[in-house]
Amino acid sequence: MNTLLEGFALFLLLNLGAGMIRVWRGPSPADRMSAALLFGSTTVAMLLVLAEATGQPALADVALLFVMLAAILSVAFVGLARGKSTGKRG
Amino acid sequence: MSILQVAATILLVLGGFFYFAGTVGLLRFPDVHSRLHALTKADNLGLGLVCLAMALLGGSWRGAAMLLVIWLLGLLAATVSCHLVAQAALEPAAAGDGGSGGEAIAPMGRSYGGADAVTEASAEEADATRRRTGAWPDGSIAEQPAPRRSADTSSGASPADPPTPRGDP
Amino acid sequence: MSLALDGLLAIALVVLALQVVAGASLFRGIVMFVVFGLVMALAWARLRAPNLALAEAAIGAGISGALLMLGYRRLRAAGPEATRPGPRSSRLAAPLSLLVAGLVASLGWTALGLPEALGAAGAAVVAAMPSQAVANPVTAVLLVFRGYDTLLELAVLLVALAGARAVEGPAGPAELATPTMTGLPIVGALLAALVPLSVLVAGYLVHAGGNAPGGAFQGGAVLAAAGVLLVLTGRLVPHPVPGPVERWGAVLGLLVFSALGLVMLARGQGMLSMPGAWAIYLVESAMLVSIATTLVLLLGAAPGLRRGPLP
Repeated sequence: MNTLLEGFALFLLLNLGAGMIRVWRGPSPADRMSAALLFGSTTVAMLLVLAEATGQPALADVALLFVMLAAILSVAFVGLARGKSTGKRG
Repeated sequence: MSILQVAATILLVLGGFFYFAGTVGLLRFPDVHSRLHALTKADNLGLGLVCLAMALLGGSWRGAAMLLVIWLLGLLAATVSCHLVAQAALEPAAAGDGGSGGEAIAPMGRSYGGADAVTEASAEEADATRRRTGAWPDGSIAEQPAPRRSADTSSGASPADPPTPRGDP
Repeated sequence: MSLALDGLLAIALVVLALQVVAGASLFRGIVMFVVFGLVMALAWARLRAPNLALAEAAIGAGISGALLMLGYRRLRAAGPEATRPGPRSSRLAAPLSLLVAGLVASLGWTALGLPEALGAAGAAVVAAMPSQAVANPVTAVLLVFRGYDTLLELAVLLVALAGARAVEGPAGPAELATPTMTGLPIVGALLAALVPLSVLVAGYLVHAGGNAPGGAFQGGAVLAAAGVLLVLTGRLVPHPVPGPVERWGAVLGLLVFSALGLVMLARGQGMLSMPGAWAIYLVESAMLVSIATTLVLLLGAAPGLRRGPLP
């Protein structure tokens, strides 16, 4: 079972590598950001699988942290497009 | 292997297939919006299947509850991120980063030519056309993107409106 | 199988690091840096260091990414040439990097070949663990065995905050407008779910830090990430005058830790000795507040923060 889990983790890591192509090539910043989304989701799955494979339940806490912080990069990215801004500061 | 392990293996293989599908979509689809769509839908489902498999293997209710929370948060994060990135990609901004020459975020329907990508003027023109008629430049009627109301009148109805093609209010 | 996994992780780290500094496009470098943080957390997980993986996840992948993205937005606001990457590297770059790589490799090779030193600090800590109030050796090292270092780290955080204020000047940096998109109801739903959950998870990490991977730094980073989200979406807006929450929050960790240390010194038990698990949790909670406040103030780039207008 452990070998299978580690094999699955390896497969996910190869998925990450393929996603890097999109970061490298993606013609627009939104493409690069979508690859970042891929990385976030895949890393969470990898951590969950590794938690089971290596017997460290603390890695599930790390996965929880990842998933909570996954949206923060997209929210920070949103201001890049030159849309209308409120311009309001307190 | 016990029955739980067999079930977990099947779920893992399915989850892996969905992750693979998401990555293939990211790499092969022609446009940023279709890539986002394929990626987030497939990855969410893949994550759900992986969480289910790990819950079966873990054998404790607390662990399973934690995995459920992780999956739900993953859904939330992916949904919001996808929506924000897709909206940002709709803006007709020349968001090219310096040094790579001519990268532009163009509205959907235009093709990326790499170095000879759309200029800002024609992107704004196409966007104005789209807003005026509610139609894409090639004539097909598509879902009106969220109209750009000013901040103090946005009542939160725009993203939840059913997709009816109508002129810009 | 695990060798293949670890080898691929190592290769990915090197390739990502190269891509971050290769500099064809600044935005690409930023995204690569965030991905590098993610893969680094995976590497820490593989090295059986969940404390470090937690910290890397919170700070490296979350807050640093937001910080870099904000910096990129400010650069973009300054003009389109500002985001052009710098001039090409000099001809010395390749030989110099090879030399440094060779130096590091030889050092590593030597270190691997050294015999295990007797009486190493790690073995001493593990031997002393059963008599400690907490079971997590990392927390014990941070607060019991090397408490002075942690105290000084809190002081360094405070100095960093003061230094950032000094560099910015009283007016603060140029205004960065909040984009309209963050007024969407879906963002409100995200905040409504994430911010209370962050408070809960931060408290859980501090509480769990006694006996399981966790601790004040990780909890503080999670809380800071929630604060960063609030700042990014305009729910918290910068303000030139710090309020009592910001003032007290920034110094609370240092105050509580020093006060406890001085009280213990006055009672003749040695400075910074921890009289029990309650003292450790007290200090860690104060550290949590300090770290979170400092990080959010640094990212908000203002002396204080106020509640922003409702979108």
